[in-house]
Amino acid sequence: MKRLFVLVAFLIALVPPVAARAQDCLGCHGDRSTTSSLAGDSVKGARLFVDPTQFKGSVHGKLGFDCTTCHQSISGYPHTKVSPVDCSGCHGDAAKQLAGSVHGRVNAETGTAPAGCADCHGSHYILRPADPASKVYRLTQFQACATCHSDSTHMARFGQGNSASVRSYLESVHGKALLEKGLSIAPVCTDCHGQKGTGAHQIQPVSSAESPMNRARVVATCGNCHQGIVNAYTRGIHGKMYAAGNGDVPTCIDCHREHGIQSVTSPGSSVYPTQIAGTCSRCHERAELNARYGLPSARRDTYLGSFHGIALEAGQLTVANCESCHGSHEILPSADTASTINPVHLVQTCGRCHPGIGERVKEGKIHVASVKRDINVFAYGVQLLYYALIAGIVLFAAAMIGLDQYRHRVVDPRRREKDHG
Amino acid sequence: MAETGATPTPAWEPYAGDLDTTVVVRLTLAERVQHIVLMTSFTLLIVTGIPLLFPGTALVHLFGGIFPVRTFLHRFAGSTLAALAAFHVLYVLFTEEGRRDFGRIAPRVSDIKDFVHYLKYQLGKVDEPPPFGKFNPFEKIEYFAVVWGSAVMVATGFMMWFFEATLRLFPKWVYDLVLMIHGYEALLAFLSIILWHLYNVHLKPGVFPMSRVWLSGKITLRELRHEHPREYRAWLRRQRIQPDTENGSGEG
Repeated sequence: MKRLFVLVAFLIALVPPVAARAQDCLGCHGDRSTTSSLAGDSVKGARLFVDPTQFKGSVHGKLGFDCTTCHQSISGYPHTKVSPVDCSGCHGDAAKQLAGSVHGRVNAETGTAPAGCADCHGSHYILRPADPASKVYRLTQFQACATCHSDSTHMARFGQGNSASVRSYLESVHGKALLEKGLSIAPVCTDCHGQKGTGAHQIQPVSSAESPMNRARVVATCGNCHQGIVNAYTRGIHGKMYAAGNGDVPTCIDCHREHGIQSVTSPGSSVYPTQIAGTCSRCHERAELNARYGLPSARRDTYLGSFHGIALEAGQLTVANCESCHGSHEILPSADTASTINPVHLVQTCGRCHPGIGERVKEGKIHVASVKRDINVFAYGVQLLYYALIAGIVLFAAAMIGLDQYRHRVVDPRRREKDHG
Repeated sequence: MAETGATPTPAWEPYAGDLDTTVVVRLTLAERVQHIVLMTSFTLLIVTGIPLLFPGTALVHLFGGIFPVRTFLHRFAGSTLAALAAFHVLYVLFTEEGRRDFGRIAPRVSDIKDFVHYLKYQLGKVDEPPPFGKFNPFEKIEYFAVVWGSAVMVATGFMMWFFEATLRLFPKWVYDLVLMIHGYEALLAFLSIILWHLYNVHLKPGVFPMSRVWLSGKITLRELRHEHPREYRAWLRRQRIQPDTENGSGEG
């Protein structure tokens, strides 16, 4: 590529009579007062202005390009309105990739393509993407994307309701790694949404099978950085069913969220101790899913009503949550002998927090939803007995209080009257 | 000293003026101390325990950030209650007052008769107050309810505290049962105290806002005559049998 640029630049340099020299153009366009008077006002004039120094520092300026290399409709002076620059003459592959992407396709609602080369790369002062000052350099790339993606009116024109993704990304563990820790290896927009090797040019909507964020590919995409986790996920029941094409099981983003993903140690994380029960419940409290897969119901309420759940509610974060017993990525059904909650592993699993816990913890249910069903009929009898006792004491006490009040308010005054009368 | 329902009316009565100035001991110092320990440990147990029966409510948030403190206090109060129960058993077995009062608080067939009499009296059907002894049938039930409740709560409480060991001896479902009983029994005890004990001892007309017996241990002869007629007559008899006993230090 680089060689091609040099060759083109060289050839262009050989034909001075046809191409106007940059020097000539900058006579007018390199001077703010001239562009202002040409355009009629300073705002419009600023769009005609080209900073000579900055242009010379750009990737194209360094190659010695003349203005007409790109602005090919201009052949002399004075010139009429210029036609749009076509980058595809040199950047044919990129242009082709872009044309097939969500940004390059003509949008049905607006009749235009959402974004062209200059929208991301800039125009006169383009730098190589690897240059830290480039508009699309990793550390600052989100700003280029945010130009449109954080503008709700702009997004609405293309039928897109979401203009918060960049903002939530910046608050995420990935965004913080990038900005607060300065980690340039932290994932940026194009790492997840672009295709490997072509940067942003081939971005597709997530609904498209080609998108790396499509349900079919998202696990592999996260695996680009988190392969160890993906391996564990693949061994777990969610991963196994995902691999088999199941559409119900969660992928990475269903539990961890997408743009706003947080570190598991952050209270804002969807898998933080205080949040995880809610996150798992999004599927595991859905009656239709429980029915479809024969899963027990009321896992959430039985947890929240347990010592673990109550202590957690009171802010004791060290108590067991869903993940502590069931595991996370490698989660398996209790019937699987490899599962942490299979009877053969239960003492070990409980023992991680409760050393010395008795073997007989296996002999009964952990999530007790119904006394009758999950403990036994005897316990149910005891429960009914207590219901009767509690109701009995309340009614009896109320009756005796009523009787005493009756004596005090009715009988005693009558008696006093009689005594006096 | 067991009284029967057929206690003859003593031949003499104190002067009416003495009824309010003469006091008799209803609760000994040892009993008052036991009551105070029971009351404080019970209150602490209720405060640190009952909210757990209502997960998902603001009650649980009382322990926001101090859950381990709650757990410690609950176990501390529970241990205190257990120690008190042990002390009380020794008190009943090995002290004269303890043995005598246990004899008086033990249920009798006449309690049923007294209860029926009480109902009639409350309804205004009879004028004579029911001839209760030192402990009326309600106080007897309450005492044995506390004995039973403490035994259940201490036993299940320790099984929950040392659940690792519990699960070595018993299957998980027994532990679940224990957990359930501990909760319901707590609710039962709490409601009994609120609705029954507090009303009948402190809040009822004539006593409201609070009886001072739990602090002073003494009641007047007039109260004794009205609330515990049989005990009153027994007291009068004792005055005759033991003429040396001074008024005011008599045993009630």
